[in-house]
Amino acid sequence: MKKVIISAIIIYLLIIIQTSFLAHFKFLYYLPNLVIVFVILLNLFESQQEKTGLVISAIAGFLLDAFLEKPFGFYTIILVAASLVIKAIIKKYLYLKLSK
Amino acid sequence: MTNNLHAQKKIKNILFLILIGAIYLALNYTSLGKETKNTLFLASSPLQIFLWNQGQGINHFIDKLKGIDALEMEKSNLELENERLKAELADLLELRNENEDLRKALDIGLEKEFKITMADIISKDPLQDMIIINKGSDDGLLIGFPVITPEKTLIGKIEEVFPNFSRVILTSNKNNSLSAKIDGEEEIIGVTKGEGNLKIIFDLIPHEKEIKKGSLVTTTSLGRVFPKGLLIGTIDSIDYSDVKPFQTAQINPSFDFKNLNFIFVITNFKK
Repeated sequence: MKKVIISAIIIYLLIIIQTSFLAHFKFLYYLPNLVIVFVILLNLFESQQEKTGLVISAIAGFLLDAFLEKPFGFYTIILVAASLVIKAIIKKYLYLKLSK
Repeated sequence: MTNNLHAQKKIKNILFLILIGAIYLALNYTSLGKETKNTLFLASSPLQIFLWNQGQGINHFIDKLKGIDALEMEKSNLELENERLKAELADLLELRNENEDLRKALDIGLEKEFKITMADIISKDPLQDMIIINKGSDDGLLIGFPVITPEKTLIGKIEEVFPNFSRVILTSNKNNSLSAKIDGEEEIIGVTKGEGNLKIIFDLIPHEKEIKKGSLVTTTSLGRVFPKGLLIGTIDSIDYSDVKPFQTAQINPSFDFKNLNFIFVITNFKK
Protein backbone atom coordinates (compact mmCIF):
# COMPACT_ATOMS: atom_id res chain seq x y z
CA MET A 1 0.00 0.00 0.00
CA LYS A 2 2.86 2.32 0.94
CA LYS A 3 4.50 1.61 -2.45
CA VAL A 4 1.25 2.46 -4.27
CA ILE A 5 0.80 5.78 -2.44
CA ILE A 6 4.44 6.84 -2.97
CA SER A 7 4.25 5.86 -6.66
CA ALA A 8 0.98 7.79 -7.10
CA ILE A 9 2.60 10.91 -5.61
CA ILE A 10 5.66 10.49 -7.89
CA ILE A 11 3.39 10.03 -10.94
CA TYR A 12 1.35 13.12 -10.04
CA LEU A 13 4.53 15.18 -9.64
CA LEU A 14 5.97 13.84 -12.91
CA ILE A 15 2.82 14.92 -14.79
CA ILE A 16 2.87 18.39 -13.21
CA ILE A 17 6.61 18.83 -13.83
CA GLN A 18 6.40 17.67 -17.45
CA THR A 19 3.36 19.76 -18.35
CA SER A 20 4.26 22.95 -16.46
CA PHE A 21 8.04 23.06 -16.06
CA LEU A 22 9.72 21.00 -18.81
CA ALA A 23 7.26 22.33 -21.43
CA HIS A 24 9.41 25.46 -21.70
CA PHE A 25 12.57 23.78 -22.92
CA LYS A 26 12.67 23.35 -26.69
CA PHE A 27 15.38 20.67 -26.53
CA LEU A 28 13.01 18.53 -24.44
CA TYR A 29 10.12 18.52 -26.94
CA TYR A 30 10.94 14.95 -27.95
CA LEU A 31 11.21 13.78 -24.37
CA PRO A 32 8.95 10.73 -23.92
CA ASN A 33 6.11 10.80 -21.47
CA LEU A 34 7.91 10.38 -18.13
CA VAL A 35 4.94 8.68 -16.48
CA ILE A 36 4.84 5.93 -19.12
CA VAL A 37 8.60 5.39 -18.74
CA PHE A 38 8.23 5.27 -14.95
CA VAL A 39 5.38 2.74 -15.09
CA ILE A 40 7.20 0.49 -17.59
CA LEU A 41 10.39 0.49 -15.49
CA LEU A 42 8.41 -0.19 -12.33
CA ASN A 43 6.74 -3.21 -13.94
CA LEU A 44 10.01 -4.47 -15.41
CA PHE A 45 11.83 -4.48 -12.10
CA GLU A 46 8.97 -5.74 -9.98
CA SER A 47 9.14 -9.30 -8.66
CA GLN A 48 6.97 -11.83 -10.47
CA GLN A 49 4.62 -12.43 -7.52
CA GLU A 50 3.83 -8.77 -6.92
CA LYS A 51 0.67 -7.21 -8.39
CA THR A 52 1.19 -3.60 -7.27
CA GLY A 53 2.59 -2.72 -10.73
CA LEU A 54 -0.86 -3.28 -12.19
CA VAL A 55 -2.55 -1.05 -9.61
CA ILE A 56 0.07 1.68 -10.13
CA SER A 57 -0.42 1.43 -13.93
CA ALA A 58 -4.17 1.95 -13.46
CA ILE A 59 -3.58 4.97 -11.18
CA ALA A 60 -1.04 6.45 -13.64
CA GLY A 61 -3.49 5.91 -16.50
CA PHE A 62 -6.28 7.63 -14.58
CA LEU A 63 -4.08 10.63 -13.74
CA LEU A 64 -2.85 10.94 -17.35
CA ASP A 65 -6.46 10.75 -18.57
CA ALA A 66 -7.42 13.49 -16.13
CA PHE A 67 -4.58 15.86 -17.00
CA LEU A 68 -4.25 15.28 -20.74
CA GLU A 69 -6.70 15.69 -23.58
CA LYS A 70 -7.66 12.05 -24.25
CA PRO A 71 -10.99 10.62 -22.97
CA PHE A 72 -11.06 8.80 -19.64
CA GLY A 73 -9.85 5.24 -20.08
CA PHE A 74 -7.40 5.86 -22.94
CA TYR A 75 -4.17 5.84 -20.95
CA THR A 76 -5.61 3.52 -18.28
CA ILE A 77 -6.20 0.77 -20.86
CA ILE A 78 -2.81 1.36 -22.53
CA LEU A 79 -0.85 1.30 -19.28
CA VAL A 80 -2.69 -1.66 -17.73
CA ALA A 81 -2.29 -3.61 -21.00
CA ALA A 82 1.41 -2.70 -21.13
CA SER A 83 1.81 -3.83 -17.54
CA LEU A 84 0.07 -7.17 -18.28
CA VAL A 85 2.23 -7.73 -21.39
CA ILE A 86 5.44 -7.01 -19.44
CA LYS A 87 4.38 -9.40 -16.69
CA ALA A 88 3.47 -12.11 -19.23
CA ILE A 89 6.82 -11.74 -21.03
CA ILE A 90 8.77 -11.88 -17.80
CA LYS A 91 6.80 -14.92 -16.63
CA LYS A 92 7.28 -16.77 -19.90
CA TYR A 93 10.85 -15.94 -20.85
CA LEU A 94 12.65 -14.96 -17.67
CA TYR A 95 13.31 -17.42 -14.88
CA LEU A 96 14.89 -15.31 -12.23
CA LYS A 97 15.39 -16.85 -8.82
CA LEU A 98 16.58 -14.49 -6.18
CA SER A 99 18.96 -16.04 -3.69
CA LYS A 100 17.69 -16.00 -0.14
CA MET B 1 -15.16 -26.57 -1.97
CA THR B 2 -12.07 -25.12 -3.68
CA ASN B 3 -14.00 -24.99 -6.98
CA ASN B 4 -16.72 -23.02 -5.26
CA LEU B 5 -14.20 -20.55 -3.85
CA HIS B 6 -12.54 -20.26 -7.24
CA ALA B 7 -15.88 -19.50 -8.94
CA GLN B 8 -16.74 -16.91 -6.28
CA LYS B 9 -13.39 -15.19 -6.82
CA LYS B 10 -13.99 -15.17 -10.57
CA ILE B 11 -17.44 -13.61 -10.14
CA LYS B 12 -15.96 -10.98 -7.80
CA ASN B 13 -13.29 -10.11 -10.40
CA ILE B 14 -15.89 -9.83 -13.19
CA LEU B 15 -18.11 -7.62 -11.01
CA PHE B 16 -15.10 -5.43 -10.18
CA LEU B 17 -14.25 -5.01 -13.86
CA ILE B 18 -17.90 -4.15 -14.69
CA LEU B 19 -17.87 -1.55 -11.88
CA ILE B 20 -14.64 0.01 -13.20
CA GLY B 21 -16.11 0.05 -16.73
CA ALA B 22 -19.27 1.75 -15.45
CA ILE B 23 -17.21 4.40 -13.61
CA TYR B 24 -15.20 5.17 -16.76
CA LEU B 25 -18.38 5.37 -18.87
CA ALA B 26 -19.87 7.77 -16.32
CA LEU B 27 -16.68 9.86 -16.41
CA ASN B 28 -16.83 10.11 -20.19
CA TYR B 29 -20.54 10.54 -20.79
CA THR B 30 -21.67 12.66 -17.81
CA SER B 31 -20.48 15.92 -16.32
CA LEU B 32 -18.59 13.89 -13.70
CA GLY B 33 -15.54 13.70 -15.98
CA LYS B 34 -15.35 17.47 -16.42
CA GLU B 35 -15.87 18.01 -12.69
CA THR B 36 -13.10 15.52 -11.87
CA LYS B 37 -10.68 17.22 -14.28
CA ASN B 38 -11.67 20.66 -12.99
CA THR B 39 -11.11 19.61 -9.36
CA LEU B 40 -7.70 18.15 -10.18
CA PHE B 41 -6.68 21.29 -12.10
CA LEU B 42 -7.98 23.46 -9.26
CA ALA B 43 -5.95 21.52 -6.69
CA SER B 44 -2.82 21.55 -8.85
CA SER B 45 -3.00 25.05 -10.29
CA PRO B 46 -0.93 26.85 -7.57
CA LEU B 47 1.92 24.36 -8.05
CA GLN B 48 1.49 24.42 -11.84
CA ILE B 49 1.57 28.23 -11.99
CA PHE B 50 4.68 28.24 -9.76
CA LEU B 51 6.45 25.63 -11.94
CA TRP B 52 5.35 27.37 -15.16
CA ASN B 53 6.89 30.67 -13.95
CA GLN B 54 10.07 28.94 -12.76
CA GLY B 55 10.43 27.10 -16.08
CA GLN B 56 9.92 30.35 -17.94
CA GLY B 57 12.58 32.08 -15.84
CA ILE B 58 15.15 29.31 -16.22
CA ASN B 59 14.51 29.04 -19.96
CA HIS B 60 14.97 32.79 -20.26
CA PHE B 61 18.26 32.58 -18.39
CA ILE B 62 19.54 29.71 -20.60
CA ASP B 63 18.59 31.66 -23.70
CA LYS B 64 20.46 34.71 -22.43
CA LEU B 65 23.58 32.62 -21.84
CA LYS B 66 23.33 31.12 -25.32
CA GLY B 67 22.69 34.47 -26.90
CA ILE B 68 25.73 36.46 -25.73
CA ASP B 69 27.80 35.49 -28.80
CA ALA B 70 24.99 36.12 -31.20
CA LEU B 71 24.11 39.44 -29.57
CA GLU B 72 26.64 41.49 -31.52
CA MET B 73 25.46 40.07 -34.82
CA GLU B 74 21.84 40.62 -33.81
CA LYS B 75 22.61 44.22 -32.87
CA SER B 76 23.90 45.09 -36.32
CA ASN B 77 20.98 43.27 -37.93
CA LEU B 78 18.55 45.15 -35.72
CA GLU B 79 20.11 48.46 -36.64
CA LEU B 80 19.52 47.69 -40.31
CA GLU B 81 16.00 46.50 -39.52
CA ASN B 82 15.43 49.69 -37.54
CA GLU B 83 16.30 51.83 -40.53
CA ARG B 84 13.95 49.85 -42.73
CA LEU B 85 11.17 50.05 -40.16
CA LYS B 86 11.57 53.80 -39.81
CA ALA B 87 10.89 54.13 -43.51
CA GLU B 88 7.91 51.80 -43.20
CA LEU B 89 6.63 53.74 -40.19
CA ALA B 90 6.47 56.92 -42.19
CA ASP B 91 4.27 55.15 -44.73
CA LEU B 92 2.14 53.64 -42.01
CA LEU B 93 1.56 56.95 -40.27
CA GLU B 94 0.16 58.27 -43.48
CA LEU B 95 -2.04 55.22 -43.79
CA ARG B 96 -3.16 55.53 -40.16
CA ASN B 97 -4.42 59.03 -40.70
CA GLU B 98 -6.28 57.82 -43.74
CA ASN B 99 -7.66 54.85 -41.76
CA GLU B 100 -8.83 57.08 -38.90
CA ASP B 101 -10.69 59.28 -41.32
CA LEU B 102 -12.34 56.22 -42.85
CA ARG B 103 -13.22 54.83 -39.40
CA LYS B 104 -14.85 58.09 -38.46
CA ALA B 105 -16.75 58.00 -41.69
CA LEU B 106 -17.91 54.42 -41.12
CA ASP B 107 -18.36 54.84 -37.32
CA ILE B 108 -16.25 51.80 -36.43
CA GLY B 109 -14.35 51.74 -33.12
CA LEU B 110 -11.69 49.17 -32.35
CA GLU B 111 -12.93 48.96 -28.76
CA LYS B 112 -16.26 47.82 -30.13
CA GLU B 113 -14.57 45.06 -32.10
CA PHE B 114 -13.90 42.63 -29.27
CA LYS B 115 -14.09 42.18 -25.54
CA ILE B 116 -11.23 40.31 -23.89
CA THR B 117 -10.60 38.26 -20.76
CA MET B 118 -7.12 37.83 -19.30
CA ALA B 119 -5.88 34.37 -18.29
CA ASP B 120 -2.70 32.64 -17.14
CA ILE B 121 -1.22 29.54 -18.78
CA ILE B 122 -0.81 26.75 -16.25
CA SER B 123 0.44 23.84 -18.35
CA LYS B 124 1.23 22.49 -21.80
CA ASP B 125 0.45 18.99 -23.02
CA PRO B 126 3.81 17.22 -23.59
CA LEU B 127 2.48 15.15 -26.49
CA GLN B 128 0.31 17.69 -28.29
CA ASP B 129 0.27 21.42 -28.91
CA MET B 130 -2.34 22.22 -26.30
CA ILE B 131 -2.26 24.41 -23.22
CA ILE B 132 -4.44 24.79 -20.13
CA ILE B 133 -5.46 28.28 -19.01
CA ASN B 134 -6.93 29.25 -15.64
CA LYS B 135 -10.25 30.64 -16.88
CA GLY B 136 -13.30 28.58 -17.78
CA SER B 137 -17.05 28.56 -18.27
CA ASP B 138 -17.55 30.37 -14.91
CA ASP B 139 -15.69 33.32 -16.47
CA GLY B 140 -17.88 33.25 -19.56
CA LEU B 141 -15.55 31.32 -21.85
CA LEU B 142 -17.00 29.06 -24.53
CA ILE B 143 -15.62 26.54 -27.00
CA GLY B 144 -14.21 28.21 -30.12
CA PHE B 145 -13.21 31.54 -28.53
CA PRO B 146 -9.93 32.82 -30.06
CA VAL B 147 -6.91 33.13 -27.76
CA ILE B 148 -4.33 35.85 -28.42
CA THR B 149 -1.18 37.33 -26.88
CA PRO B 150 -1.11 40.93 -25.58
CA GLU B 151 0.56 41.80 -28.94
CA LYS B 152 -2.52 40.48 -30.77
CA THR B 153 -0.77 37.37 -32.04
CA LEU B 154 -3.04 34.39 -32.45
CA ILE B 155 -2.24 31.47 -30.15
CA GLY B 156 -5.20 29.23 -30.89
CA LYS B 157 -8.77 28.64 -29.87
CA ILE B 158 -10.59 27.09 -26.95
CA GLU B 159 -11.19 23.38 -27.51
CA GLU B 160 -12.73 22.33 -24.20
CA VAL B 161 -14.06 24.28 -21.22
CA PHE B 162 -14.24 23.29 -17.57
CA PRO B 163 -15.81 25.50 -14.88
CA ASN B 164 -12.48 27.11 -13.89
CA PHE B 165 -10.11 26.04 -16.67
CA SER B 166 -10.01 25.72 -20.45
CA ARG B 167 -8.00 23.66 -22.89
CA VAL B 168 -6.62 25.69 -25.80
CA ILE B 169 -5.65 24.05 -29.10
CA LEU B 170 -2.65 25.94 -30.51
CA THR B 171 -2.38 27.03 -34.15
CA SER B 172 0.53 24.57 -34.40
CA ASN B 173 -1.59 21.58 -33.30
CA LYS B 174 -1.90 18.87 -35.96
CA ASN B 175 -5.71 19.07 -35.78
CA ASN B 176 -5.80 22.81 -36.33
CA SER B 177 -6.01 24.48 -39.72
CA LEU B 178 -7.26 27.93 -40.56
CA SER B 179 -7.59 30.35 -43.39
CA ALA B 180 -4.72 32.86 -43.58
CA LYS B 181 -3.19 35.43 -45.86
CA ILE B 182 -0.01 37.32 -46.60
CA ASP B 183 -0.55 41.03 -47.08
CA GLY B 184 1.56 42.86 -49.57
CA GLU B 185 1.38 44.28 -53.05
CA GLU B 186 -0.52 41.15 -53.93
CA GLU B 187 -2.64 39.39 -51.28
CA ILE B 188 -1.88 35.67 -51.02
CA ILE B 189 -4.60 33.55 -49.45
CA GLY B 190 -3.90 30.04 -48.20
CA VAL B 191 -4.43 27.72 -45.29
CA THR B 192 -2.18 27.27 -42.25
CA LYS B 193 -1.87 23.76 -40.90
CA GLY B 194 -0.34 22.79 -37.59
CA GLU B 195 2.43 20.24 -37.70
CA GLY B 196 2.97 19.78 -33.96
CA ASN B 197 6.01 20.81 -31.92
CA LEU B 198 5.16 24.48 -32.45
CA LYS B 199 5.55 24.21 -36.23
CA ILE B 200 3.06 25.58 -38.75
CA ILE B 201 2.97 25.32 -42.54
CA PHE B 202 1.26 27.67 -44.96
CA ASP B 203 -0.37 25.49 -47.60
CA LEU B 204 -2.54 25.70 -50.72
CA ILE B 205 -0.61 28.63 -52.19
CA PRO B 206 -0.91 28.76 -55.98
CA HIS B 207 2.39 28.31 -57.90
CA GLU B 208 2.18 31.69 -59.59
CA LYS B 209 2.22 33.58 -56.27
CA GLU B 210 5.60 34.74 -55.07
CA ILE B 211 6.21 34.44 -51.34
CA LYS B 212 9.01 36.30 -49.60
CA LYS B 213 10.87 35.07 -46.56
CA GLY B 214 9.88 37.13 -43.52
CA SER B 215 6.41 38.02 -44.82
CA LEU B 216 3.74 38.31 -42.14
CA VAL B 217 0.95 35.73 -42.14
CA THR B 218 -2.33 36.95 -40.67
CA THR B 219 -5.81 35.52 -40.18
CA THR B 220 -8.69 36.16 -42.55
CA SER B 221 -12.34 36.33 -41.69
CA LEU B 222 -13.05 33.38 -44.01
CA GLY B 223 -14.63 30.52 -42.10
CA ARG B 224 -15.65 33.01 -39.40
CA VAL B 225 -13.52 31.27 -36.81
CA PHE B 226 -11.09 34.09 -36.02
CA PRO B 227 -11.21 37.87 -36.40
CA LYS B 228 -9.24 39.04 -39.41
CA GLY B 229 -5.82 40.62 -39.10
CA LEU B 230 -4.45 38.63 -36.15
CA LEU B 231 -0.78 37.78 -36.63
CA ILE B 232 0.02 34.05 -36.94
CA GLY B 233 3.73 34.19 -37.74
CA THR B 234 6.37 34.99 -40.31
CA ILE B 235 7.43 32.97 -43.35
CA ASP B 236 10.56 31.03 -42.48
CA SER B 237 11.24 28.93 -45.59
CA ILE B 238 9.47 28.18 -48.87
CA ASP B 239 8.99 24.70 -50.32
CA TYR B 240 8.45 25.06 -54.06
CA SER B 241 8.01 21.89 -56.08
CA ASP B 242 6.72 21.47 -59.64
CA VAL B 243 5.39 18.05 -58.74
CA LYS B 244 3.07 19.36 -56.04
CA PRO B 245 -0.13 21.14 -57.07
CA PHE B 246 0.52 23.95 -54.58
CA GLN B 247 3.56 25.47 -52.95
CA THR B 248 3.97 25.42 -49.18
CA ALA B 249 5.94 27.50 -46.69
CA GLN B 250 7.11 27.01 -43.15
CA ILE B 251 5.79 29.58 -40.70
CA ASN B 252 7.72 30.69 -37.67
CA PRO B 253 4.98 31.20 -35.01
CA SER B 254 5.06 34.68 -33.50
CA PHE B 255 4.07 33.57 -30.01
CA ASP B 256 6.78 32.36 -27.68
CA PHE B 257 5.92 30.78 -24.35
CA LYS B 258 9.08 32.04 -22.70
CA ASN B 259 7.87 35.61 -23.05
CA LEU B 260 4.22 34.94 -22.33
CA ASN B 261 3.10 35.76 -18.82
CA PHE B 262 -0.58 35.95 -19.64
CA ILE B 263 -2.87 35.63 -22.62
CA PHE B 264 -6.20 37.12 -23.71
CA VAL B 265 -9.36 35.34 -24.77
CA ILE B 266 -11.65 37.20 -27.14
CA THR B 267 -15.07 36.69 -25.60
CA ASN B 268 -17.37 38.58 -27.90
CA PHE B 269 -15.98 37.99 -31.36
CA LYS B 270 -18.85 38.54 -33.78
CA LYS B 271 -18.92 35.69 -36.28
